[in-house]
Amino acid sequence: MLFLFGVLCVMAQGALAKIIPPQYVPDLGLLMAFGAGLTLGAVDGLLLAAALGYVADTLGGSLLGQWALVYIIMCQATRILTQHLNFQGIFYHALFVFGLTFVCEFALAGSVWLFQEESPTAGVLTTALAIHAVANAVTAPLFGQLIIQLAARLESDRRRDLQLNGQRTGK
Amino acid sequence: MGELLARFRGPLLFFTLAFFSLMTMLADYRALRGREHALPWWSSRVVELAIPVQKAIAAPFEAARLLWQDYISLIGVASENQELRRRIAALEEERLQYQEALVASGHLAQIAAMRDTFTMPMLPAEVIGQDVSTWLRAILIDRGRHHGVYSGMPVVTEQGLVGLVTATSERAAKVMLLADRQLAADGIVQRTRTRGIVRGIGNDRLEFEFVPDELTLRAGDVVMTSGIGGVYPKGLRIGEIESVDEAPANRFLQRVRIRPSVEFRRIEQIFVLLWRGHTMELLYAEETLPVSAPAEAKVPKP
Repeated sequence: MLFLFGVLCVMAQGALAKIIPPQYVPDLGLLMAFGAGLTLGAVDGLLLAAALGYVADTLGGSLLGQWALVYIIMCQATRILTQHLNFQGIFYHALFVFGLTFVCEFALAGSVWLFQEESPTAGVLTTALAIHAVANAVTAPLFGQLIIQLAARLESDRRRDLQLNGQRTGK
Repeated sequence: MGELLARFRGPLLFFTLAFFSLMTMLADYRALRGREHALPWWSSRVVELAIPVQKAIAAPFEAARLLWQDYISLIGVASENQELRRRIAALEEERLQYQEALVASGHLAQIAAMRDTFTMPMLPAEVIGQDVSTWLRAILIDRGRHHGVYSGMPVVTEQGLVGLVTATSERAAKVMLLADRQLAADGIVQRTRTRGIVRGIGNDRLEFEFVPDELTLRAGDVVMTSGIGGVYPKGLRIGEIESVDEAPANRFLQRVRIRPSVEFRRIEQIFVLLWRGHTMELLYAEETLPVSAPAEAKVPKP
């Protein structure tokens, strides 16, 4: 369910980038990976992030695995921070995503350099990237909350189903 | 052992997935540099599923934008009409003068014959998605192998060169934009016939590389594809020179910035040239081109 929602988000970001300048469109796939790091367990979160990364790679111009790598880094970084620090609150979430957007773009650029014969002529830091990081940061707290609510809802549904099944077999 | 695995399963999975993604990147890179780049079956399915979904998501926004555009355009329509009429008259006069000169020199028939030779079929396509990354610049279009679109075909708009098809599925294709740092084109300055390599430098700007210092280029000079390199046909408009760096780091070469004629962030409709240069033919030799282009692809000459 979360995966399908994530796929829809990745498709939506591509469609929105066609209408408004792409740097203003938040990277919803990246935010899904952030949300997965906040709420899901290690295995579920990383698998979801990797799967969404491959979908983003398929729909974008990256090599297959580039976004997947970036998303699992995002997910793992969020998980580590959530485990070791009191990582709560809108401000901290926004700040974290703002910083990590830069890290992710550097990771993308690094992976391009890894496979290219010649290095690109310009650096990664651009005005567009700063705008993109702000767009991600602004959306992150809201999106994080949405994922938390969605995951909680799915978990309660699953428990209710388990209870119902248990009662049926008990009878 | 089992306890240890359970304890470290998070980091273990992280490193396994990271390694796996690096391996798939390597495999995809090799495929891209290899002789064929059709998307894998599962990838094709995702792309083709995305076409209707992305169109549906974009539709209400698109409608609202068009409505707003129509409203805005109505405001200044009278003055714009007047201005356009004036320009048409001026252009018509200019055209007649050129025609007169050509007829006088007896070249008109030759030029008409040359245009027939160089006209290539084009296929209109709609952009359905775009990368949000500021580093990677690519678009997804709603035409694929079924319509005669193959990797290595140039993509244009009425404004000029957009990029190159890099991967295809049955009904969709990925196009790498010229603004992407990984793509380059052999360009020529229309006025001075200076050649160089045009490459994206981020923020949707292009750079004209390897231009010798002694050549005098100036802002406003038009840069076009040279046709050399066997990737793009000759004469596609790339953009205009925006600035020439007077004190470059390398004293033998100039640093020339180009303002692209295509607004990469606002591409909606594009045309795929159903043609592949000889370099692309060699690169994608295993992807067979149809003997003749589909009927809908044959648009009238510009």
